[in-house]
Amino acid sequence: MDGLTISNSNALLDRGSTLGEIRASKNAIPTPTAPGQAEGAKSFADTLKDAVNNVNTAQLEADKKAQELAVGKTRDVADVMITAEKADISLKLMTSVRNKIIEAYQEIMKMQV
Amino acid sequence: MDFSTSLRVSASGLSAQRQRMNTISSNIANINTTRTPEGGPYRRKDVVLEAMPDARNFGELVTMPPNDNIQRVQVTDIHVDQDAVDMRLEPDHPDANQEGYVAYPKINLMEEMANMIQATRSYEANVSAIQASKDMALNALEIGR
Amino acid sequence: MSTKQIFDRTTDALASSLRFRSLRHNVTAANLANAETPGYKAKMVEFEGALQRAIDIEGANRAMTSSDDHFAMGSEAISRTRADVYDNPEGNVTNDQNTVDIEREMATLQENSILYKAALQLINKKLGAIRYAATEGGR
Repeated sequence: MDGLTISNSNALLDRGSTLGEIRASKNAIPTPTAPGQAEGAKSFADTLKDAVNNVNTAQLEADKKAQELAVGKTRDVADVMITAEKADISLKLMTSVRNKIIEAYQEIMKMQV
Repeated sequence: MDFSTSLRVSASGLSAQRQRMNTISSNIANINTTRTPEGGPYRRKDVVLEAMPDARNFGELVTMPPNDNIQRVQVTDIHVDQDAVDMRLEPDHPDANQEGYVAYPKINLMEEMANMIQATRSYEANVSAIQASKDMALNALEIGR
Repeated sequence: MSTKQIFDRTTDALASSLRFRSLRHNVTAANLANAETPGYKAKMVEFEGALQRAIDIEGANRAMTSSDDHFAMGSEAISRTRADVYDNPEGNVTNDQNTVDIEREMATLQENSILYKAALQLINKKLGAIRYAATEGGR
């Protein structure tokens, strides 16, 4: 997956910026904070949506390969197993990222204003 | 790649070596046979092995590209050596001809024993190949267990 | 929520393949047992084509039903697929009219067993993923 990795997700939680902005900020002038915060709120949803799409793609591909194995169209057991494992891991990874984000949100909501 | 190709190819090797073993047994058993239904003494038989492209069913031909480097072995012919005749002087033998010579098969027992050992070793090697293919595929199932 | 919506046709296909592969195992074992029987013709099982058609058809012919009691058109295709058991036409006939090739039957047995285990493992993995999602990953 290109967008969401463990190290990237921590950066996203800390600074609320998209991956593209993190890369761009290394070369360019840093953007002002106020619009950055508003864009940060939108980027959570986008990142999660991308992650969900990636997980879905991986699951569909694993499904297709499993069907081919059941029918006997392919006999490449290693390939099917690896694809299934990739789909499994990406599902578990997305779940734990979601858990982390919810935890962080609840942490913030607990704060006495 | 898949493992079923290697299983099929090794199975063809096993089959060929078994048929070779059959002819060797036949040669050894008939080493002194002077009378056969076809007339004349028993003649030494040998298998002719030929490499052929791996035969697959139609479904696989359509979905997987052919690989001409993978060839299985097939027994195409059982060659009868008509000249393998040994004439010995035995006037009292019931099968002796006018001059008193009897036609015996020209089979070298040591050569047949050596061929037998070779066929056995080839058979064992093919069995090892099948075991190895099976182990590889089973290990692939361990991914992500 | 009917179970048809949670467990998709991949699980059905894998479960059907388990059924067919165990049938093939039995037929191959019978062939091996009768390897020396005079007049015995080696049998083979074929289900791949029928199962593949059932999987493809199911997507195209699915019809909506108002209740689960109604017979669902086309969506039972996978579980209703039948395998073909017939005499192997390629058998080499030996002197006693027996067409069993021991090595070929052994190779079929091995391959079938490995694919059976693979299907079993994939089903476990798939149901495990659904179970993980249902229990929220142990949270």
